[in-house]
Amino acid sequence: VGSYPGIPTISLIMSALTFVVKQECGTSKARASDLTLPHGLVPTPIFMPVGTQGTIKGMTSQQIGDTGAPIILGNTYHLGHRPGPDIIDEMGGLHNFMNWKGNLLTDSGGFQMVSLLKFANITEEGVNFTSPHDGTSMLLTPEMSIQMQNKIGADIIMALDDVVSSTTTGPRVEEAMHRTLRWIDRCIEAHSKPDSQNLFGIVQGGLDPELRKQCLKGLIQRDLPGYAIGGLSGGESKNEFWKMVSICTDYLPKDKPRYLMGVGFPVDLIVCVALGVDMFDCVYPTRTARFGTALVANGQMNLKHKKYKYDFSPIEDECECIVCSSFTRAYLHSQAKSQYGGQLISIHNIAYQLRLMRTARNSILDGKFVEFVKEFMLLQFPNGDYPDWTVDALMSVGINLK
Amino acid sequence: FELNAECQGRRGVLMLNGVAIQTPCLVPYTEEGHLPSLTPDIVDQLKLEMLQVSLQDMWPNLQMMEKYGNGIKKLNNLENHLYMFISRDPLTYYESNKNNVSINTKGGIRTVSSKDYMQLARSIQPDIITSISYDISWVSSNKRKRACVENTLKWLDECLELKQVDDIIFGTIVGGSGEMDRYYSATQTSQRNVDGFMFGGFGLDEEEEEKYRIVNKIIENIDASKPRAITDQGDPVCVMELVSHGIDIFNLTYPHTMSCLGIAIVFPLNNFDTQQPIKLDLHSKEYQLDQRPLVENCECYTCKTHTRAYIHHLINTHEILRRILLEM
Repeated sequence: VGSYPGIPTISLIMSALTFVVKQECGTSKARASDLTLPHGLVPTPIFMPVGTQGTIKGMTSQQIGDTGAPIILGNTYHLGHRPGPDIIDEMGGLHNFMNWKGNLLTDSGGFQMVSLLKFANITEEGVNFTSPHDGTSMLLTPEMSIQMQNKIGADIIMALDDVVSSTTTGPRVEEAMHRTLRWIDRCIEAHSKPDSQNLFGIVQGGLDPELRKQCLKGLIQRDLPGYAIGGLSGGESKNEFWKMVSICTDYLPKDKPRYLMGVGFPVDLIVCVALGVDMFDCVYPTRTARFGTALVANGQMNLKHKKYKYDFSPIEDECECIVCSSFTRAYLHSQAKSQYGGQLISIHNIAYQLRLMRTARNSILDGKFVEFVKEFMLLQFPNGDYPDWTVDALMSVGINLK
Repeated sequence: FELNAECQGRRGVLMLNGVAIQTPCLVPYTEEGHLPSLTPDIVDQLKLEMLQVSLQDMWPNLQMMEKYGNGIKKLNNLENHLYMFISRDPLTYYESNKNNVSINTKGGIRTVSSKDYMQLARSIQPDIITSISYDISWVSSNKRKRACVENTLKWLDECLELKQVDDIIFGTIVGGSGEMDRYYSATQTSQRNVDGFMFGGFGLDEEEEEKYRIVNKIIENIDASKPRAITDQGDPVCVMELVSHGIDIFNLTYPHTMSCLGIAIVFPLNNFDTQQPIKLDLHSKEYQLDQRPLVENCECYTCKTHTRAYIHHLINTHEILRRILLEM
């Protein structure tokens, strides 16, 4: 299949999205695209706020809509427990249940099972969890994950993959990569709504370039509507992190969306956009808000610090969110340790991440992405003390920070 | 303050700083002048008229408020609302000794004089200032009741001395369960140049019967042409009773407490009959699949947007949003 910007492709399997690359950065691998999903247009690059349990912590559906977020996440693991897939199904799917008119993406539930449950045991069948308390078993198979996600009804659903921690080495990594490919076929088989829900495959392979390439080849053969890069944003060094991202974006088809799971901090977002990623999710902006930290152009603002006690300026002059247009740092300082303060800062932080991605996108459309990256990095590191990994990663795509 | 109907209870229009509000009116509980969990964009949808702001919440912010200079409304971005400054936090109780008002702030226990109080009021810039007092239990000794009454009157005079031309000051009437104490407090307060009355010390340990008896006692002995405010928990039946006795302004904690408890207030506003539920406990599994709004035909965002099932889920998962939706 060709990869000419501006021309949508025809997929061999049914997909419920269209993806059109509007502009490529002439230098790096960055691109600005229009992703159209059943619940509306998603301009990429895009940041997706995380609404784990069917709500973004501390924000109403209306407030999320007001920030302009076109797509948010829900977690299959959490929603699968409470309220459970059958209740969501009876309520007409998660969109209706939480009254969210935009797009939704659900993950498979696999990551939480492995990371939250110490006693998870992965077999060919699925992820098996045996409770040490009462010996009862819980099993999550690819079929069960897809069935739950079909009931939840998100516009993008994720395949169940065999996730290994990025710090794992040895044959387990290869085993997981092969199993991921066998499981993707089971996911495709089990998927009952390909006309309204897009199944994304997840590239595994740890930190081994050859395993990654094998996995990429296998997933690309399945001709899925979109692809995610998984198994990163864990304990690996940033140096290895960016290289794996870059290998994946080198091989993934240009005419399909690429989603980097669990990333992240503003610097990570911008570097990975340069490496060719389109979609991101992370709990970071809302979580750090609840600890009193606001995201700003030059990094972070810890509003709990006493230096803000009498600072009557907004968090950021250029931010148009309702918090920056109505409240002062002094006020937020007085509220920073309370739930209310967390709510307000969350609204700003989500707005910030969305604006960051929008600015990146516009710079790509205007042919000024390289300048944008340099300006952004200088704001974040005014002394030019860029972390080595960012210098290397950007250099690899033709952006020289020094 | 203009009364336009009076039978059992009275209806009026209160003009404050160019804004007219109808009475009886609700003054909901706030934390530092903002509604708990509700951001200004949400509060604006509720069409509330007057909010309270308490001494205890604002005392630690005095310096900041003075440097800020723009008052509580702009601070909270709630400029379309009136504010009433009260000296009592309705949800906590800290015992003052007889001659000083003590409050329990997030910075520790503080003693507040009437001068301090008015200084804080200046920085807050509320529409109504109620004179400073402390609460006593209804079963306090006669000595304690008397000390409370005498000190409150003294502080009222001190507040009035510090009054500036545009200030609206309500005199606080205290005395626990003592009829003589309340009589004295009411008559003396009524003789001062106050713009209205705050019925102090309610919503504590009073018996139901004595609550209404004392309210009547106070009303008999104050200028009827001036508005009357009360701080109470606000059980709906009790509020109706107090309206029928002639109270105009209600500082109530009931909506907030109920939303903290995961309870929705659902009694119909018309055609109320005692067979219908007043409240729903949304913890209950019976709402798991209930697709109805909390109250049919309710115009609030929560009822127009969400179902009982969704709110039940939020309560079950302890999500922050449950507080927002119920408080609304």
